[in-house]
Amino acid sequence: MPRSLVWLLSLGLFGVLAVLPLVAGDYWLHTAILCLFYVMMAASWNLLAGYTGQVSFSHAAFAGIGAYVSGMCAIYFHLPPLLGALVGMAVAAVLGLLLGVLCIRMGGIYLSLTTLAFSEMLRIVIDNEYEITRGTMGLSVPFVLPFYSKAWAFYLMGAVTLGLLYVIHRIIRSDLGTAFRAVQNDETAAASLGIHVVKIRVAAFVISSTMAGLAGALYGHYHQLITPEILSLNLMFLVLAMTIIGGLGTFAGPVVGAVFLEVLSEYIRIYGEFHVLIFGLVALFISRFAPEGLVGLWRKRFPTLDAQR
Amino acid sequence: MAFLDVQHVTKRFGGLTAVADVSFQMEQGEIVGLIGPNGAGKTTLFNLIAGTFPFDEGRIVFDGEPLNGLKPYHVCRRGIARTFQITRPFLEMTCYENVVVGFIGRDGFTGETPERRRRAEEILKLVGLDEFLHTQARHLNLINKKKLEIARALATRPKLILLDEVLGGLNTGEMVQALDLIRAIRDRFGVTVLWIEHVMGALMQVVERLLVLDGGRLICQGDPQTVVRDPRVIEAYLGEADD
Ligand SMILES: Nc1ncnc2c1ncn2[C@@H]1O[C@H](COP(=O)(O)OP(=O)(O)OP(=O)(O)O)[C@@H](O)[C@H]1O
Ligand SMILES: [Mg+2]
Repeated sequence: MPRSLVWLLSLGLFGVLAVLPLVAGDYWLHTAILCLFYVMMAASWNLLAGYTGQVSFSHAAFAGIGAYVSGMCAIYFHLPPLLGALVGMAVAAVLGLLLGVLCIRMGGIYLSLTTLAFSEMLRIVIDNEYEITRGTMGLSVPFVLPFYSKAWAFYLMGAVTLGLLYVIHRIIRSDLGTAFRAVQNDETAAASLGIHVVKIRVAAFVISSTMAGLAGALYGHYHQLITPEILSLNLMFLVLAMTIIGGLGTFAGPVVGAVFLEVLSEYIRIYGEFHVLIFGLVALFISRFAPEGLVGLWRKRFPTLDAQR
Repeated sequence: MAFLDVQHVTKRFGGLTAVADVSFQMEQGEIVGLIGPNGAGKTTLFNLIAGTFPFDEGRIVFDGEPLNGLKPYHVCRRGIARTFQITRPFLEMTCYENVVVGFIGRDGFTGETPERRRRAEEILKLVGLDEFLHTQARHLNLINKKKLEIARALATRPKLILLDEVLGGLNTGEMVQALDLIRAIRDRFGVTVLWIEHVMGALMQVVERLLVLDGGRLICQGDPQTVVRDPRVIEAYLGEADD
């Protein structure tokens, strides 16, 4: 895209974000905050799956780790939520490193399976450690800010989301991002050129998991109730569908996909909780026939805007 | 001590001995050809030097240090680069980015610098891909993919480059260019070259020495003119023609 258009779009986006709390009712403000959470989740999962080709199923689990650690820091150590979120992020990073070092060497489908097993195990532990986690009842935690305001929660989450997107954008454009894509394209060739493939893959896994931890922590403190639901495969598949439908391996894809599907689910929620299943099927269809998702379709429609890519 | 010293190296795949007790040496600055019939073990020998496979017996010493047990990325950082017989460019990346991966592998995350840009452009120009700087590798034809592999190998600043069949499918004009390129790799970059090739006529114009593998064994080595007249070599190739 031409520079000027990027600036215009960013400016428009900022404008919308700034006035949204002033014009939107409580319900749509809540939806907008959920959108921000999903944008963070999908964009960080995309960094891993879309740029290094590692399909991990533990992304929701790391959001859960961030949420629970941060929540427990607030309850048991009276840490302010924003400080707790940092601790949650750090724990997600360390666990991401451990899990990454353990299972990334296996690669491919084995990574998917082990991360799936990890997240289910963690969910069961949280379900059962009632004394500490309050199990399925959920953990009541303080609001993300010292005072209750949905509008300010929105501004906070919006700022963090923009920051996160900025970091992801920088990573993609950096040497690290180039190494990510080299490993995704052909790891044998990358290794022959001096790239330490396992290190690169673990790095992507840790960065992505850390970001999920942050998103989860903020989400938990916004809801003021953290349940094992956040670690569920339901959330995982929703994030996966958002990324794929929006455009796997494109910067804008997960953003578009997250907002689109979250708003859409608000409209179709009345038909029951089957929507994730439907999204999953659509995602499957898209990954087969339009691997770059909605963003890819847009690029095909307006190729001139994208001449510089 | 020799620059590359391969000592009694053996590699088995199950019951098949793909490389059998191979020993040879190379001096710095040499261009050496590696020939042999299909399935002789040439590519496997490259894979052993490059660290793709561990070997069962023997020792490889490069530039004074053993390579045994090193992983490919490590061998590359020691100064050995390679191309692949079946090309493996990074298809979804531009030619420029392909070359940058070589810089990153060798020098780490330095970020984009004017110096790196200049060197990338210089290398791509040398191999004749300057007009495809920002073309994705998947749009290149086979010949250009091979050139791209040489370019990104050069980006790792190798002391030794392993070329695995780079001439197949070239017409006469392209062949002349390719031979000039391989000479330039040695003369301008001071890179030692070990080169597998089936196109004998062209190979003979450039190499200073030939190694001949057959059935995993090094059956003959030496001056190209002498080697191609050696009865064992003729036998090996005739055997292939009979199949
Ligand atoms: N990864 C592998 N696993 C099992 N067998 C292998 C493997 N790689 C090579 N081989 C076998 O080892 C032998 C030598 O193969 P290699 O590819 O080294 O031959 P080559 O001399 O390069 O032949 P060509 O001229 O056809 O490229 C062949 O019989 C091949 O089938
Ligand atoms: Mg071969």
